[in-house]
Amino acid sequence: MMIKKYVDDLFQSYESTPELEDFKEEIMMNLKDRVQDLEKKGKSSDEAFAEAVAELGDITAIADDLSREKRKEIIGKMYVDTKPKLSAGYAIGYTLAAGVLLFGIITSLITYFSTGDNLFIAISSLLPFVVPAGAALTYLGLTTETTAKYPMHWKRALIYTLAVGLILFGISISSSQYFMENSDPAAILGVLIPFVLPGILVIAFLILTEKKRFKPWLMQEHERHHEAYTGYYKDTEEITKRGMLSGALWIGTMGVFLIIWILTNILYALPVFLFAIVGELLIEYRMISKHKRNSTAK
Amino acid sequence: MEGRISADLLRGHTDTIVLGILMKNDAYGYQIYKSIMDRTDGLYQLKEATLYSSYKRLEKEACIVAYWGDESQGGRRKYYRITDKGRIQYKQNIADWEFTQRILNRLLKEEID
Repeated sequence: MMIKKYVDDLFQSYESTPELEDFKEEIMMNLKDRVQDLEKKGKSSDEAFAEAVAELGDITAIADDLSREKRKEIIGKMYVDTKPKLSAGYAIGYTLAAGVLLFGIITSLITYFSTGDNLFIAISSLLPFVVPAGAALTYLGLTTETTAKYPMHWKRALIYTLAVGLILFGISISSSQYFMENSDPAAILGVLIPFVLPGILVIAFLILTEKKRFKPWLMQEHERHHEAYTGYYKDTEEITKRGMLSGALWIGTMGVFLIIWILTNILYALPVFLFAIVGELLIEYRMISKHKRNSTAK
Repeated sequence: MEGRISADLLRGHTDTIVLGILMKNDAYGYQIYKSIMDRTDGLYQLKEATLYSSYKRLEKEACIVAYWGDESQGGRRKYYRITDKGRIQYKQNIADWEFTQRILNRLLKEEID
């Protein structure tokens, strides 16, 4: 089964399509015939295999044509100039969400003037409208196809929407706690955290596992940018590492900040950010010096 | 002086060579490859990949059609059959080649005359 493994390996990086499977089967049979013929001429099975494979030549160009990824790219290029049309349902959705938001703004303005310029109550009355509108806009925005991006799968977008809704809801009720009842920061954080923290965690998870939805022409553009960038950062792996480091740094900083704030006072908590900025600079410095080391080593 | 084969020149005629083989009867990939090898006594090393892209091209142009054979054992083979359009194309290619050959001969051999 040396031939089957060879052919499978050859097309490993291609997305399977019926046409590609057909092509693989065809190649496999022809290789098998060739190897048999060469063996009949007195070659050892290893020699025969090596010779048959050498005669095959470079078939990747054909595989490119048959693999779906490539086909998508061609279609993407064909339609790159035409802006995708918004469906009627989406248009209505956007209008409704914007309407709710606008209504909220008007309501809060009315509240603002009728309560004798009370800004806090005005903000509190706006927030209940922001929650559904924000969630709806999140969903619509993620699942809308644009010139640059394919739409997100609706299930994934729904999780995003729920998380955003949760965060907005948390902010909304905790701020009304703050404005209306003048509770102390600890109580407000107690209300805020059960909503916001899971929401942020879910979104963080989704963002980290995000697949690229860019259209092919944009990917090419990115590649060009990436090439221009390679003078600075060696490769994407390094950029990812750097991003994760500062991500961890800032999430940790937020945690420490909140804890100190709850335990003592916001004034004691703020300097934590200074340490974070120093940390960020250190990461940057380390990356650059490592990059220099790497380039001198090469 | 002994002549050598011009691989580029030959590659430009792969489609016509394939059509020529299929004019006689249907064949699968390895048969076509072997018949080219046999006819040139192994002097011309054609890569199979060149043939595969030729099949794909000819299929797209509707000059040939592919179908799976019904071998009972050892896996099925993909056969190619020439279409009417392919036959016309073949004749046209041959006519083109003969014309080109005449012109080329006139141009290249001028010195000798």
